[in-house]
Amino acid sequence: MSADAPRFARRVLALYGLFVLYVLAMPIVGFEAATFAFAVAGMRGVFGMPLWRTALYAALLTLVAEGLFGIGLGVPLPAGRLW
Amino acid sequence: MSILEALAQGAEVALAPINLLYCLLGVTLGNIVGILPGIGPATGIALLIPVTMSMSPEPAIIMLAGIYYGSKYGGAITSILLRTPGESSSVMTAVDGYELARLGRAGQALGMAAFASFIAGTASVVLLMLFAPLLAEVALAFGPAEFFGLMMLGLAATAALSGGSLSKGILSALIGLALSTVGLDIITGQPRYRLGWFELLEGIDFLVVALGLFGITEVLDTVQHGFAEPVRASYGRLRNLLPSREDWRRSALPLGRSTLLGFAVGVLPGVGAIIASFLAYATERAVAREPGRFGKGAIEAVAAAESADNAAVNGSLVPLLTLGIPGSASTAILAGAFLMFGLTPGPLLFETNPGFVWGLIASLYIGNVLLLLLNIPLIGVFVQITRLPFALVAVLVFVLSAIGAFALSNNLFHVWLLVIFGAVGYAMRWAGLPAAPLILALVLGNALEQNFRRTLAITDGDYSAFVSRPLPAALLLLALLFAVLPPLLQWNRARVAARVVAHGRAEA
Repeated sequence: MSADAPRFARRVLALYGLFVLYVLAMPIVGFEAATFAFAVAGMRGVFGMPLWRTALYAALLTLVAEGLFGIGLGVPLPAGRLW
Repeated sequence: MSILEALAQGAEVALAPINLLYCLLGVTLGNIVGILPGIGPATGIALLIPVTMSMSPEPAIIMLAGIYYGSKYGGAITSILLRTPGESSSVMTAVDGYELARLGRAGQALGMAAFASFIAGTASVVLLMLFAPLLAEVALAFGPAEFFGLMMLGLAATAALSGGSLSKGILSALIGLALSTVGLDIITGQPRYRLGWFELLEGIDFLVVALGLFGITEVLDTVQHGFAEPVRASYGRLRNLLPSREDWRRSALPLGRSTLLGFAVGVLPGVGAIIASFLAYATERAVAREPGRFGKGAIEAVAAAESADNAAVNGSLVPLLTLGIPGSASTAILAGAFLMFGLTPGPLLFETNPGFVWGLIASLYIGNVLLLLLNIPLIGVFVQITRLPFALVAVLVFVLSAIGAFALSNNLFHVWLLVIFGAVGYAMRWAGLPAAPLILALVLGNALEQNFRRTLAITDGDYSAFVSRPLPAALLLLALLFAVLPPLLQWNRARVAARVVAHGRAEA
């Protein structure tokens, strides 16, 4: 077992926990807001990516997911109750 | 209809602009899937099935198959440049490919990998085209007992050969079979094991399980074992991608031999491309005039590993298309996609949907040409993909998996199932249970049960119907051998070893 094993195990737990929160948040805040928040929390919080890159990638990822599936392919994505 | 007439009919389908476009999209995505760490072909296909839900079957399956064989081309790029196989079956390419890159011959190694993949891919489609219709014709005479025997053989072989211990493989297959019984009874229409959930009436969708077991689990596993951050590869400029005449002279025979070996191995259920490339590498080292070159940058080793890998992919399509028995996780997910579009893989497909089957076969030729055209001039673009941060890939896989699960029924029930199967997959990985037998059993479960119960219905509940005719009896015996032989051989080895030790002691 490598010396980094406990750190990696914590990352696994954190990433999985964030995914559960993401699924919980989707029907409340909607797909777009939940995806953006999950991407930021995942890339910054779990993997330690620099903030500006995280924000850029999260915005791009949300736009591509919404554009490709929601608009392009007409897959209905979860809507939020808040707005 | 002769094979050439059928192929001409298939070419008409495959060359339709929309199918051509999706073939290009599939092989490009496959190439990217092969390059990205933490995403194998099974994950790639499962992640992109939701994209195809609103499409007609031909472009959808052509695209998904493109992802499958395209990933084999992509896997070679990271193997050669970074010694990090983006795809597990490219491990053997990394051994000599990376050494060649260190010697300043990365371009030729990449070129040889692309040409070997193309030649093996094309030659193995010819073999597929010759063997598949013959096998399908034989299988047309099969009754439910024969199909039951075949499916049991496919399951037993996958459980025995998918890595790890036999008992774990069998346990994984049994979990898959148990999951396949959830939902309406296929004969009586009675609901089974739905635990009060209305959403479970239609059963557990294979896609949710595949996304959980491959998508989520694969990412968590990569995080668990540490991931390589993008490396600025030090292979210099990729100027010359064309292998020299000497390279071709050394590689021609290994390429031919490995293509045949890879195809034959690919046809066997449960064996797959990883073992094909290992076997091809070992065979070539054994027959080489200068075996010392292997491991130190032998270009013929790259040709052998890549050709076996690609030939095995087309070989694995033979049992899927002709018998309806997928032999690996990727082909099991492809089989699930067939079923999703109302197409039952198996011998009848050649009779009822010849345009579709031959269109798919023709698209394999076209896809291989497209991959060669993509990989030679655009290699620089694909190399850039190796620099994508793993954090982005990980989050992308989670988001795409959630969208795929949600798209199944437009509610969050399936997304929660995905969360559960992500954890189940991770626990299985931790316990050493292979995922391939589970997904295979889940996809085959309904057909297996249907054929079992049909046989009993035809024979008034006579169980001897499974062993009274030679073919089903032989198939079931083979399935039993897969389950019994490995522990017997292990026991025998332990007995011989104990006897040798005892003999040694007595002499001392």
